Amino acid sequence: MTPRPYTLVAELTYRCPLRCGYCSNPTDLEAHGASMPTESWQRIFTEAEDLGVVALHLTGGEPLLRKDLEALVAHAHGLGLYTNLITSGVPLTHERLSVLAKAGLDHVQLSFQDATAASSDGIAGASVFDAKLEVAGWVKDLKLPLTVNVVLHADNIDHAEDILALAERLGANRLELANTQYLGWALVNRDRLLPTDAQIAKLRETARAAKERLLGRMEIILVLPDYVAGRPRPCMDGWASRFIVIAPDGLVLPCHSAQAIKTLSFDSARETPLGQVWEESPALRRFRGEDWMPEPCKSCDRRAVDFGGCRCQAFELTGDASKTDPACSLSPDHGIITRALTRARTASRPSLVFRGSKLA
Amino acid sequence: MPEDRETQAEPLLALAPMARLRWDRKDGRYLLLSPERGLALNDTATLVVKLCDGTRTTAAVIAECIRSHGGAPAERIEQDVRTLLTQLRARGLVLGYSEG
Repeated sequence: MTPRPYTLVAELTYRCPLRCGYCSNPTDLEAHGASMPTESWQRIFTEAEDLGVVALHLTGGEPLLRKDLEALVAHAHGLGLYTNLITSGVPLTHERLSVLAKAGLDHVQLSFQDATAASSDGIAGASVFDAKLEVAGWVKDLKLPLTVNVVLHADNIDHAEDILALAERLGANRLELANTQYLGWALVNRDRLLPTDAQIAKLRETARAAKERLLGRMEIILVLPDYVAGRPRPCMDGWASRFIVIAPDGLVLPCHSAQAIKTLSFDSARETPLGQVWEESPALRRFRGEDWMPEPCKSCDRRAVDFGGCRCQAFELTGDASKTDPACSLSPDHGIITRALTRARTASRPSLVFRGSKLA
Repeated sequence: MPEDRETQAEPLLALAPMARLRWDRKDGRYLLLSPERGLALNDTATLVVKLCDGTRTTAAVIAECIRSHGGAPAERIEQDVRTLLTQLRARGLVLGYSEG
């Protein structure tokens, strides 16, 4: 039986004013088709709600670059979807945010790259930190719930205390301290971005203390890197199970990164009803459930916990998307992970490759 | 001299602005939605969440739950309600609750 999806992630455009070197968008951005028009997105939202979806993440790229964002929020609100704007905060005005709030936006997730302007802008590859501070103020002013999201890596992980203080000062309801997942652009920059075990240990302690101190005031969500965990993460709660990701051109994906798996061909909901694609798309069926699993996953008692880990990571690191995620210490390919950690920690650190750079 | 009424008053329970209750017609139950999370509520939890409307203290919410659960022992209902409120508070979904 086809599982019920609960969350739709709508990547409204791949365009973005920021150039973060860990972006989850494809590394071959120029190879992708044009973004869908308003009516296609609205139709897809309606079909998604009918399939069981209750929450919508509007993301990108930068969703604010779409002039029809207000119409998309209003349509989602009309369907009763919990509507979350995942944004860098630029470009935005107080007036536009106020219109979005009135259209029914439920929540804003605002990214920061670090706790100070110099470092944050250096990571983003754009001068946007001060604008983000202003946007956070508008979000609170309009009484919208605010999550501050910071992707962590070697260049900012030691600033977790300052990031916490920033989130508190901004009045965030939630703070996501999410370590980089090493896929896409982040895989390009892996030798630069991987933190050390000591850095991770310090972060865990900082987050633990903050959770205790801020209980009931600000929720802290800590996501650790699977490279050091020894266990794969339960990626998207399983392939094409609870999440539907729609790429700007309408391709129906199981996660943000799946187009990196060049051996799969995804289907579009631009011309075909979403329900039909969700149920029938061979690429979505390929890794649904447990039948596809190799050993050691197939007989592992954690297979219902982590679903064999991340298919994209298996493909990116081994060339075979059907293998056990090498992040798992039980994987025969786990040496790829340990060698990558050793290299990142012993070689001199390369400079950051910004998103959108030409890759060799 | 009487104490200031504000400091004396018991806090009122309310859903956090980021939490929203939604009827789920697929499975015939309520979901409590928040960023990146949806909690499926049973009948008791649904009642508790609906009572957290900014007009009741913790004691009033518990009393209302006991009243609507005819037969069950009052202490057990209070324990269940407090456990739920503790979980919701930890996730930032309910405001105004303090244990004890």
